[in-house]
Amino acid sequence: MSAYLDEPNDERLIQSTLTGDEEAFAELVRRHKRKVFRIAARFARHDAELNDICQEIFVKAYQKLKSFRGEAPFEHWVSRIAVRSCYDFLRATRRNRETVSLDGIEIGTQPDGNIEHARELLGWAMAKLSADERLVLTLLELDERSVRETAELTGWSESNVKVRAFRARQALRKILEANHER
Amino acid sequence: MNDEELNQLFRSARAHQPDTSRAEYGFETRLLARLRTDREQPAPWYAFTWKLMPAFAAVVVVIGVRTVMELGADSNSLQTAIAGDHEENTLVTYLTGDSL
Repeated sequence: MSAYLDEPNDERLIQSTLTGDEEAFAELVRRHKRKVFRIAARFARHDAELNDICQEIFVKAYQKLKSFRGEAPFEHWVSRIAVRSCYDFLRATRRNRETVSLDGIEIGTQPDGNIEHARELLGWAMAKLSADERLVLTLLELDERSVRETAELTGWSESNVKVRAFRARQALRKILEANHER
Repeated sequence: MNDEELNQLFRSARAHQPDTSRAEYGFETRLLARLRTDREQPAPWYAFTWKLMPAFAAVVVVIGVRTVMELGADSNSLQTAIAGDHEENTLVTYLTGDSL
């Protein structure tokens, strides 16, 4: 109990980091890395890529820490940085993703079928979407976030999120249908 | 493909939570090492260019003002010259009887 009370809160850790205490920042990272890794894991293709994205996110958080005003919890602030970094990452690597092969992935959707195959098929189709289409579908459909949350994380308006989500679903459906016809 | 089939695909993908524990292992150590390396590297010269923006802006304003002033002076003298020439031409036309 006393150990819990002695534990510094995020604000204190931020203040200590700003005065040059690296260990305080390491503690902040330790506390919040699980959430950041969960966000980034939806976009990374392997562990090395996941590590790179997460490093970028926390380096940005470290560099921008002075601008953290404490109006929202640190967790929300770092989540916003994470989502925007993932978006930048998707835009930067889109060309590589478009060439993802469908070899080994069972073609066609199977409502009662293998979860792994459905997941791979969806991953293949989503890799063909644009960065914003993929981001909005990941946040709304895979992470089950509300429109408001998605708007806050992306910096888009709520109506913009709805429009983008509608278009993204249409685009995804087209990709899957084209694949089904082949 | 209808909406229900698409939703089914999303449900299947949601059921799978990626395991990030391997990538998380020792992450703080790697991150701090990177921050130290970034700090030790000198910032590239172009990182400071934005700090010179006010100086560049001041130079642009000075050049702009000077150009406008010079143009203004030129146009005044040109107008005078044109007006003078025009007056002379009108007089010559009048005296020689040439029609315009």
